[in-house]
Amino acid sequence: MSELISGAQLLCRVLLEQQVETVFGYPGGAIMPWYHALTEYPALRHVLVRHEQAAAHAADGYARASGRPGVCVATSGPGATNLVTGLATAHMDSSPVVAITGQVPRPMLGMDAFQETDIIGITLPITKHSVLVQDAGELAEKVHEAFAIATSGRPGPVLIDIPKDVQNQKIEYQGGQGGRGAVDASRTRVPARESLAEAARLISHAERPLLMVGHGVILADAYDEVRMLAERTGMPVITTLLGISSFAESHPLHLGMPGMHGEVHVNRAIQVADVIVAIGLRFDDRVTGNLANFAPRADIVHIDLDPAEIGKNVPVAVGLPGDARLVTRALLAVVQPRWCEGWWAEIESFRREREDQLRGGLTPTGILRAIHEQSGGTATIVSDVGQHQMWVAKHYPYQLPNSHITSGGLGTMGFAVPAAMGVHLARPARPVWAISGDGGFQMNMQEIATMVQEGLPVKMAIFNNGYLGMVRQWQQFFHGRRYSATPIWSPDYVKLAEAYGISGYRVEHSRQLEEAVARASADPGPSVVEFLIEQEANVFPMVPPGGSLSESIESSPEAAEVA
Amino acid sequence: MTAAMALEAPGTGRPPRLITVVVDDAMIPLDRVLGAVRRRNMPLVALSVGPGPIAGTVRVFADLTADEGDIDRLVRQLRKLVGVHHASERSVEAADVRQLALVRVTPPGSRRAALVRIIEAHRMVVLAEQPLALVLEVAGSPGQLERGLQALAPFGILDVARSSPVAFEEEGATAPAFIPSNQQDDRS
Repeated sequence: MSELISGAQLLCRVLLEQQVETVFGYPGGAIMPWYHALTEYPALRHVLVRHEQAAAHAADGYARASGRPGVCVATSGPGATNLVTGLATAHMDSSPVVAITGQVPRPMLGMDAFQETDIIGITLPITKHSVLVQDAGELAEKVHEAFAIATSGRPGPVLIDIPKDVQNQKIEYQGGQGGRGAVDASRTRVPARESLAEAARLISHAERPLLMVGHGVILADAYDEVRMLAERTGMPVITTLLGISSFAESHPLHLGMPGMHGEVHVNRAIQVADVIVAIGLRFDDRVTGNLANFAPRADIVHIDLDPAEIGKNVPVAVGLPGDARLVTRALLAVVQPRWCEGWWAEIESFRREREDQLRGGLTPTGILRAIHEQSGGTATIVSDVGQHQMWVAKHYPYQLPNSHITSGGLGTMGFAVPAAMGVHLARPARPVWAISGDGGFQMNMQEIATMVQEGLPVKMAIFNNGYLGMVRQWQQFFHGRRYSATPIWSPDYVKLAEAYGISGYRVEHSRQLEEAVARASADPGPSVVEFLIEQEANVFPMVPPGGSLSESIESSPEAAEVA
Repeated sequence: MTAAMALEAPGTGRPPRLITVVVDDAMIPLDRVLGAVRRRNMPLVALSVGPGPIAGTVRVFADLTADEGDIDRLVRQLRKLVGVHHASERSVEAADVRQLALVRVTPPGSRRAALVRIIEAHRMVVLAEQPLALVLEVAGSPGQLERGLQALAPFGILDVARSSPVAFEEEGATAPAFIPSNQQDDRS
């Protein structure tokens, strides 16, 4: 039986057919018909953010935590353009976000109408796909297709732009057309037997093999396969920034994070390795340093869902395009058991001990340990961008799969707080900590209001050093300590929390640490904990920009001069 | 210039490459194809768009100068785009690549016989004789085109309107682009 409904109502029904439960958005003129219809569909939970950028980040966080598309909605013009940073973030990190924007009515397109922007044109380079729905009759098909594209192959954001009059257009609704998903041939493709055999041969004959794993392992749910491959071969496991939490850090085969702020022993291992098996990573420049000198002795076996990534940045000996889980499983079937005692001993000799930089006995390591212990290791850590992001990546002892979420490719400050809202809604039973610096926190701290209104118990940690710390560190190292525009004033975060009606805590000394974290964790709603850390603490080691992984800076320039 | 002389893009020392893309006949996928070229800042020598091999598609030809590795990465990126059915690249010097130019030359005056010999030797076609110019069509491989233009140069070339090189993709190389399952069911 058919019924006459509006395009806006149809959109709600299609979202439900796609099993969408939560939508992050902000209303405005060109999307009002959809908001009018929304009240008839209580199964769609709408989270009213305080800025559209936060809607996109929250949808991104939801997608990363749940593995299902995150949905954000905005009006035309400024509403749509405010989504841009969030879409670019999702695009760089292969996150399946579906963004729905209202658009001016069809007759006004191209007339520079009020709040008209060419949002499809603006977002073309930062979306996987874009759709302008020109008739309500094609709306269902286009939206189903958008969801299929967002999640198929290498995931990514899709934008659906719907003119206001299309939302109001009446259409015969024939009943559910189903969100049956995409034909995703890329996920079932298995590499040629010869290629797998060659990869297995390289692993067997290697003296210094390494296993490097990235975000693709999390996206493919390939945790067990990667662990089994590591355990069968004894290969040390390196996790990239987005690969963190794809392999338990307590596992004896876990080595650490590589790249610009990777530990010296990890980077040195890469530089002397003779075989690197890379799974689900793209050899980003923050991982490789100077490409010309990256892993000069290694034959690289590269497993990636996206064939365009294989050989893109580094030459490979064997390319194995395909789903990380499936291909790793196929490789497991042909690889010979081995162990790497001598290699491990060599790596141990590369290790460096380093002292933390203190203020009031507070160290990033100590703060992170307290959060870990308080949550019993169950927390998901959503980090922002900057120094604290590197400390979180290096020092938090991740055990659970997909428990570390951050903006890796785009490096978006302001990501953590809104993304953590999405993470909570995707996994409400697990605690979520948004960890930010004082700079990044101030970029999207307005979302505390969203958390209060929606009852989202996100815990927010602020590493406050009074600086835009990572930029300051670069100024100290490479710009003669000229701290241009990096000192940053903060409001009283405890009072800010009180103004929003939530608990706020300030930790100035390590003796206050455990109690503050415990009280914040026990609060039923959101809470803020400000940690006053050493102002000029640096992230060590550091590979200078453009340098090779062999060139780590291990102390500040001043200290080096004194020594 | 000899027949064996290789083509080079001006100032690069590299032979241009011809990229062929078969893409859905819609502005957004086409825009994405061009965007993939634009963001890599590759020198674009020529570009043309024409009907594609299957209904609802167009063929895009882009004549580019870039390192082999950069071109290879571009083609692999193009193959990923939603709506792209086929992307490949080849040297513009390949045997099956053709190009067309319209050339306006100064009327030859007393050198008419010499110009006619060149027109015949290079299989050019006289399209129009205007008071101030002779309009010629030159077609063939990009190398033949270059040689024809060089032969005409002494007569005074006033203007050249030149197409992109074109070529067929390999037989059977064009596959359907991404098709969601709910559409695929309808096709079966």
